[in-house]
Amino acid sequence: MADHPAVKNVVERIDKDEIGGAADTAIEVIEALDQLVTDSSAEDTAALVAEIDAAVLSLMKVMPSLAPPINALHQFVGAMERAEAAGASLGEMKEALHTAAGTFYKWAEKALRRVAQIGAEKIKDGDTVFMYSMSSTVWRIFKQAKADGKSFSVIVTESRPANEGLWTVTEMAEAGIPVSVGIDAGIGELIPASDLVMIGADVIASNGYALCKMGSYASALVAKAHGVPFYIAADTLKFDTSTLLGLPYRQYKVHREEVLDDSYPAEAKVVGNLFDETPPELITAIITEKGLLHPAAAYTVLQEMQPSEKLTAMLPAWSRGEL
Amino acid sequence: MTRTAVTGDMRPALREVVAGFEANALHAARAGREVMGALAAVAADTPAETVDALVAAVEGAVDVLLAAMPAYAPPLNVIHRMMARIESARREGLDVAGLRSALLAEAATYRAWSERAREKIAEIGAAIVPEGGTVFTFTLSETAARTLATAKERGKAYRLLVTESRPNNDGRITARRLAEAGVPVAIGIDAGMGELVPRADVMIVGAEAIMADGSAVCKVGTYPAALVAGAHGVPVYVVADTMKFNVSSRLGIDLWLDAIAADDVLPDPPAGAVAVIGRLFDRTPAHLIAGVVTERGIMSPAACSAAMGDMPFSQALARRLHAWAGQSPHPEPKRE
Repeated sequence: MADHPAVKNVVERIDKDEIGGAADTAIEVIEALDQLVTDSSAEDTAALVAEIDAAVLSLMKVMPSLAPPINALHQFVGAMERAEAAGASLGEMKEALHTAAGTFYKWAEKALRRVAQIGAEKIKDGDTVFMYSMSSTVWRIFKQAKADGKSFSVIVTESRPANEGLWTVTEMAEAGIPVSVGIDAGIGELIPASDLVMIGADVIASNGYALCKMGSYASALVAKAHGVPFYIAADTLKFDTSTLLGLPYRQYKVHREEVLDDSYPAEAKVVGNLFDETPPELITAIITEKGLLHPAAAYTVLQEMQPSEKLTAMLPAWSRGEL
Repeated sequence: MTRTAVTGDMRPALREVVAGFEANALHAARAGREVMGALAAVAADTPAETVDALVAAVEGAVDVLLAAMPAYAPPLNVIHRMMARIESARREGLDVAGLRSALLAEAATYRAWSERAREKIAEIGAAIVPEGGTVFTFTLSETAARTLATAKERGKAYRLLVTESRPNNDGRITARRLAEAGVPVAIGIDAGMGELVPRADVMIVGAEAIMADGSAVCKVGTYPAALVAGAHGVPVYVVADTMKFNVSSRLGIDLWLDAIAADDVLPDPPAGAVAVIGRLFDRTPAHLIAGVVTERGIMSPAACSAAMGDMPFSQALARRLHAWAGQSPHPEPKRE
């Protein structure tokens, strides 16, 4: 069965990495499935379930290691499973799925706003805040703090190899927030000169580890050594259900051409991942829409999510790239 | 270097060293040898007929060098050595010819010592490279590179990990050099230290200076890498001859740590309150250092501090250095 055009479009956009952030990916995925339900010509629930299952499989085949769209899928597929178990009619199932999508959109918007508000509370007048790389969640916190009338400045480092730290410089300059930029190796000087650290995460694991842009772990060690509070900003969609199953994160390597040009001998290899793990003992708190959480609370958050059985069954093969 | 020296009436040897400093072309150890050479050349060439005139010429050269010099311990120590020799010569009542030959002898002794010290450190340092193990090094240090090359020459099989070391990317030079010497080398980004250092059995780095509190001033990034090493039980060794022991730091005189050039990070800054922040060096505290590999053997940072008490030290230079440190042309990192 051919995928719905809306699903096909999102699959392509994910595959080509055309979507800005993880939260946007989650929203686009749910919008496409919502559209599929609206347009579906299925004549019974079994046919609708088959259409959705096929669409979810197409999406998961191209899905990178982003917790938010996977969690959004858990919510949507979970609603379908519950309707199925309750013996819903086709109309009732469609209704339940539209409701799940609608709840998700409203939740996403409110969650991002809540994280910004709670994070902004941690910034005091006159503070210097160190952030690493770029994070739209942390940017939102800074803009909220600025809107709250707080006067503070931001320090960021380049974040090689893609230099996303420079995007932060542009974003802060446009927002009228004073910003200074250093090199990644400068964390040993710059973090002790800051009042607090705020970093965005890609994934929060069930054991409270945070998977963030490479360099975050070393930054957390510096922060700990100097008594600088270290916050991770992440709505609970970043809490990764696959970590409950002990599945590894998908890692991405630094490319050779980003470090060495052709003039270097082939014997000199390039090593390293693009993300690292910060252990919970280095994290002061995770700023979520549920409030400030100790990283140990990650398990409880994941328990409350009611993950979908079908999607959970798919995750081991997905994590090995074998879907 | 942002300092510009008065380059008017200057001996060629002196002019060359000053130009080297201004072009940022002299690393710490070499700066010590070059400064000693320049002071010896001034002592040899000056047509002074009195002790006072010869001393004035040497002190004039010292002023010129101080004005051009970055925060390196070896050239400062070399100046201490020459000025301490002048002070003892005055007490001994040497005439101008006696002083001149005393200074030239001091320079010759230093040159011979320096060459021997480098060889000894490489030999001792090579012994701590673990057979079949992995070494993490940071940036490019002539002393560390020599040590690693010596380990390879002695038949040690080991793997080397290094990171780029922005903004100059000197780590790439280390990677190229050791790869060409046949050592399996892997290079990562500086931010990757949290992943790479734990994979190593030992971390071996060079230093610009060892301070009186036992800390090491090294290329920026060394301190966080040492923190990672500490968290993962990887011993950190600093390779540095005793000329890197900054005797002036006993008086609380700090080294300037040069700021990163804004162009290296933001060649085209956006409008707004935007600044480039940070220095080219950082300080690794004594408690993170397992040992300092010197020509005298492997010393604890505390022993380095104690050893500074026996090194040549000129009171006259110390008085100048208080003002020198206070007039640092190197601005504090900007805080908006």
